[in-house]
Amino acid sequence: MSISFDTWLNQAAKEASSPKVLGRQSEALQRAKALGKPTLKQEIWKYAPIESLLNELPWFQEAPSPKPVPVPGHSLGSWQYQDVAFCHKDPSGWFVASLPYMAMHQPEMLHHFFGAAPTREDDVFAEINTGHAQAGLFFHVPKGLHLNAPLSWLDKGPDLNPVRCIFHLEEDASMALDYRLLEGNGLPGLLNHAWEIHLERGAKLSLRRKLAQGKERGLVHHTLAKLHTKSCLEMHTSSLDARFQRLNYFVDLCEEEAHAAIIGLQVPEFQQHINTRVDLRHLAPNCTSHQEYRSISRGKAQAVFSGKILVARDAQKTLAYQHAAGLILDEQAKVYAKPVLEIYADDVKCSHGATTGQLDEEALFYLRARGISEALAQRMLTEAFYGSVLDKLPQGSLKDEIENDLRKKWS
Amino acid sequence: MLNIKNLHAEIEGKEILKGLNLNVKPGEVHAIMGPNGSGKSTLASVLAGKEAYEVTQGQVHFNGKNLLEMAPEERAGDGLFLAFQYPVEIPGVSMMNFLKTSIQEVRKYRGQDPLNAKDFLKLVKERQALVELDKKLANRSVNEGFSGGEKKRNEVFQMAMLEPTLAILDETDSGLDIDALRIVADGVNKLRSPSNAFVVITHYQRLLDYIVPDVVHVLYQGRIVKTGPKELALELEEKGYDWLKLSATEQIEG
Ligand SMILES: Nc1ncnc2c1ncn2[C@@H]1O[C@H](COP(=O)(O)OP(=O)(O)OP(=O)(O)O)[C@@H](O)[C@H]1O
Ligand SMILES: [Mg+2]
Repeated sequence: MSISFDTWLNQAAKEASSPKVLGRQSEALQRAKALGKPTLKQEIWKYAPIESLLNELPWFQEAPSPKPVPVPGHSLGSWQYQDVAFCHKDPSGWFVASLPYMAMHQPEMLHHFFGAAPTREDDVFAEINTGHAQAGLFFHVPKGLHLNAPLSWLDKGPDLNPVRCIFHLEEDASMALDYRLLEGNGLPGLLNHAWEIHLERGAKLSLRRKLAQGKERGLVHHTLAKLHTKSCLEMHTSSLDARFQRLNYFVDLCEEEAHAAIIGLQVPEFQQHINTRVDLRHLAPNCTSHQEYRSISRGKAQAVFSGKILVARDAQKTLAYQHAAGLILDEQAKVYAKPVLEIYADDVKCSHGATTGQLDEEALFYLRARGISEALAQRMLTEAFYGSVLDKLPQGSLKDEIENDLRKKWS
Repeated sequence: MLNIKNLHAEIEGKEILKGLNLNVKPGEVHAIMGPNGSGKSTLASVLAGKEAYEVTQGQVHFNGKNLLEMAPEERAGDGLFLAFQYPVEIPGVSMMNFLKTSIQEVRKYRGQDPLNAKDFLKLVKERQALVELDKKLANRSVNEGFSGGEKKRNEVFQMAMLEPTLAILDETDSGLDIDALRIVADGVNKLRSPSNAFVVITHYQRLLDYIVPDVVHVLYQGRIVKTGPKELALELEEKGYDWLKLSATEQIEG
């Protein structure tokens, strides 16, 4: 069944007062109602064709559920995130379960974390996600446990909206996840995903993601993260093949010596629009952050990166780095980069830079003067542009896959 | 081998080459000297096919082909090589990938089979040794962070890899210390043969002690205003260009 955004918002507003929903959900729904439909007039939607998208794409909720795909080992294939019976409990102690399962069997744990990571309260989709999430996964890694192999999740997008995943890593726990959002047989529409991340002292979470939900579907994706002392969140995200994507990173470094790395590539083509918004807050002293984004725009596509770093007054000895670079491959392609620094502490090191341009003519000529054809020279320089970001992915299948996806685009 | 007739070229509407003539035969070494801004690098760039320059008049033939109609990569494939005055740094493109691609593309153009990995590495080692290029540089990105001298040696190294029939060296001697100068010159001399030719652009006659030219040209205000034997270089070093400027102006006005 698919419904429009307006119908949905009306329904959601009614539900806000229902006794069935959590307090946090009810608040979020009320905020969603107050924010209303997003418009281009809002700074956060500047450049994004959000109004036309909402008119064109159905805001869908339900569709037939896909068959489970069992895959051996830690690779769980298509996880059943709406299946009330889905829970994979590893003998070592970590588990992943669907939200419906959690609601049924571990409601206290679910309610403790659900909606407890910060949003920024200006994005209606994040509020909608909190207010109305009905499916998703809950990852839990207990104290001191290190998952030595990365988990792998192939998401072919059951047509369910919104989806929310929660990651809870206890003290000194660590895990890595390779995530692929693929086209699958999803219906056209606008997906709303949120990943809520809770890292306790010394925990380490590494998320490597390929987001390629297809030319028919839009995606708004929120990363809502709360980092405690000495915890570390590393994210590496490649946005490819998407009609529309908006990635929000709302990351709070809440306690000392926490570290967040947000690294990514966005490669829109044709008329696609890929848009990344980072809102990172240094709220405690001695935290570090690293943002590195590369955008490559082709055809009539647009790539947007807006990155904000806020350093609170007590967050002394902050070390924050941000760099955004854009490469424009066609005349009508666009890349926008907007860095914002808001610093209230005095003893901090923040550096940021943004560059946007076309392929370097001098370098192109140099390569061609050595006998390399124009097309190949362009490809070499394009690959060089994102190589340093791709090299930050660990060797393995996801890296090879993304490398191949990109190669196919240029050839 | 190379025939330039009445070449006029401009950049951004400004005429730099104003009727230049030059003939280079196989086996010859030509030196081109001339004051800063006279158009030496412009000539080199036009020959290599840089698109920013517009040729407004004249012809250039290279081994019988109309050079001006060819893409830069075709020129390289046909055996033209330019050692850049300012080699370009290309972060993210490794020297090895660059060399391999270059060699294979040129071989493809020439109808030769691709070199296998083993033969390629052998060639790299051999030619590195020829110009005494630090092997570690091959692990870096193209020219990135190379010292001035290393960049120049790297140009000669690439020349040695590609074995051109006509090599244009644009101030390859600038920035080289005395030893490096000799090494680079030795490298060039080892590549000299009756079938290939060199055009050596330089400000210093010192280089010409090592790479002995057959002829020396003076390029001034976009034209070759004087041509002479190798002794001309000595004369220029002694007297500077002023005495030529006077006669050149007369020549241009007359
Ligand atoms: N993009 C450009 N726009 C305008 N003028 C240019 C441009 N590039 C080069 N020129 C001019 O063309 C003239 C010739 O430059 P060129 O580099 O060929 O001189 P050169 O003889 O190689 O000098 P040098 O000995 O200093 O290397 C100079 O006056 C230079 O300023
Ligand atoms: Mg020059």
